[in-house]
Amino acid sequence: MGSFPDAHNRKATQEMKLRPNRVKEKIYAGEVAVSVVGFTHPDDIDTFGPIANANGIDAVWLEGEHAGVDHANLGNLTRACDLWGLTPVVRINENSQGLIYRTLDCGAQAIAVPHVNTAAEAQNVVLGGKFPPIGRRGNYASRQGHGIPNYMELADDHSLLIVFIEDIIAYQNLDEILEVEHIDIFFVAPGDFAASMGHKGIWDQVANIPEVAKTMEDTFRRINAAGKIAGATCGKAGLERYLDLGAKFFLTTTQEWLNDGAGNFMSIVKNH
Amino acid sequence: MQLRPNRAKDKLAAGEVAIVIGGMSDPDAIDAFGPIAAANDIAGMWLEGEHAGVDASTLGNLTRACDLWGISPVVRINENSQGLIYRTLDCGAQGIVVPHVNNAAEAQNVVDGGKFPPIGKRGAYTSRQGHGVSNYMNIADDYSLLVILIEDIIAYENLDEILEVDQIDVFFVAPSDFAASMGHTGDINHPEVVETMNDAFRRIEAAGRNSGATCGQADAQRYLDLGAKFLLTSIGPWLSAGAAGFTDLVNNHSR
Repeated sequence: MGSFPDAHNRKATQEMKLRPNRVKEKIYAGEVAVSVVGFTHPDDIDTFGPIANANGIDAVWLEGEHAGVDHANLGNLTRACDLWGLTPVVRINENSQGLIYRTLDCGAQAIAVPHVNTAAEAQNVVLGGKFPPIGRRGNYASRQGHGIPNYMELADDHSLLIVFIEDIIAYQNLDEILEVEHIDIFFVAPGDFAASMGHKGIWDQVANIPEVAKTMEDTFRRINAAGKIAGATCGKAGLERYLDLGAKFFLTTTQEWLNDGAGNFMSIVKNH
Repeated sequence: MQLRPNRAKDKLAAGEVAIVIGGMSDPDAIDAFGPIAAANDIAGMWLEGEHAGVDASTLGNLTRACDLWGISPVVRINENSQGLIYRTLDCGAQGIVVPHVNNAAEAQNVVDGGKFPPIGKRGAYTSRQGHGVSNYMNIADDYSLLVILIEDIIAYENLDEILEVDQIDVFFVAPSDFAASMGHTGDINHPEVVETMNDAFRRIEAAGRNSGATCGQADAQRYLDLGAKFLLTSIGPWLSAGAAGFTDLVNNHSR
């Protein structure tokens, strides 16, 4: 069970440890980590907990670039993840140092920053996400640090930083972006990538356009060649392709699962 | 997967005193209090829904913050309703506190709402405490804690029959309503009130049941002497003492 720190068996003298970051541990062990998007209420994450554990799901993706995740609800959302050992990954709305570290302070274990197009922009993510001397994260104990007296010494090793490579300009600047240290995952997203190349459409519609596919594939190869970790978003249909391209971090959505489940159920009703 | 233990219930079963804290109303605050609770062996968090804003829509988040630190979420509800009792359990409470229980039938109503058949009539549903626990309904009754408030003089008069109701874990003797119902509103130290309450504690203990009390540092000893095993204390006096200590330093500083 994902409770921490062995909550019921806690002792007054027990040494508390910072909650592990399951995604970070897995990707640096060379394993694939999977995050799921689609949950917006803590009760729903809690309900999903045993399903996640039974299937080896690593993380819940909390959507704050486009959807309603903000600081007022991050405590409750991330606690529901903590309870089941799931890494709360929060995508934020802009590349702001203050926004990055407040999101970590409220309980995120990982930050995903959209539209990172240059080395300077990637470095800005590091500055917001890591304490000095690495970065400039403001001095405060995250709620992940409750009961951890040396939180600030440990936090940088536990936080996970993801940058989105999703514009053609980021592709053009990829070599310099890949040189930025402390970025854990370079996430190659098809929708904006295609849009920035003149092809509008949602991700599964544009990922196979030859020009887009070729550019994205080259991106994955160069991330791998640099010894860095690539992330991808897909459903079951695209998974094999991205695994072949070396992606180690995946974002997938519950929508496909709901669609499959609804279809399967209704087919029994209709065919009876 | 195992059902999350109920620390307060386990303490009582072991003959130990379970300490429950009242005064926190936000999940982030409970989470921040977690390591303090762990360091001080606090067993439960009292979530106030008789008088304050705890309701079904807030219980998931409040009780998860408790779960994370192994603190039993104990929820006082607003009326002795079977539906309210089991929905509160379904939303994540590990303990239910029902106010103004005045006779055996009313105590039995608490059991009917709080336990599954054949003991009671709790509606069949998996509590959020049961996520991932395949046999939840078979074991839930062993994990839920039922507390009734003995807080009216009529409950005192009916105490013998109330004490015969099985499955009630704690008979909580509350002074304010007790005093009010005896015509001594606001005077919980009136000798008649004190003696009646003391007798209630003695009779609960004599019946082999657990009593509960609300107290602070000043009167904890009195209730422990009376055999109380379930103690509710408020963070109000802690904040007051802390604030006074701090401002004293400021006010008395000279250089």
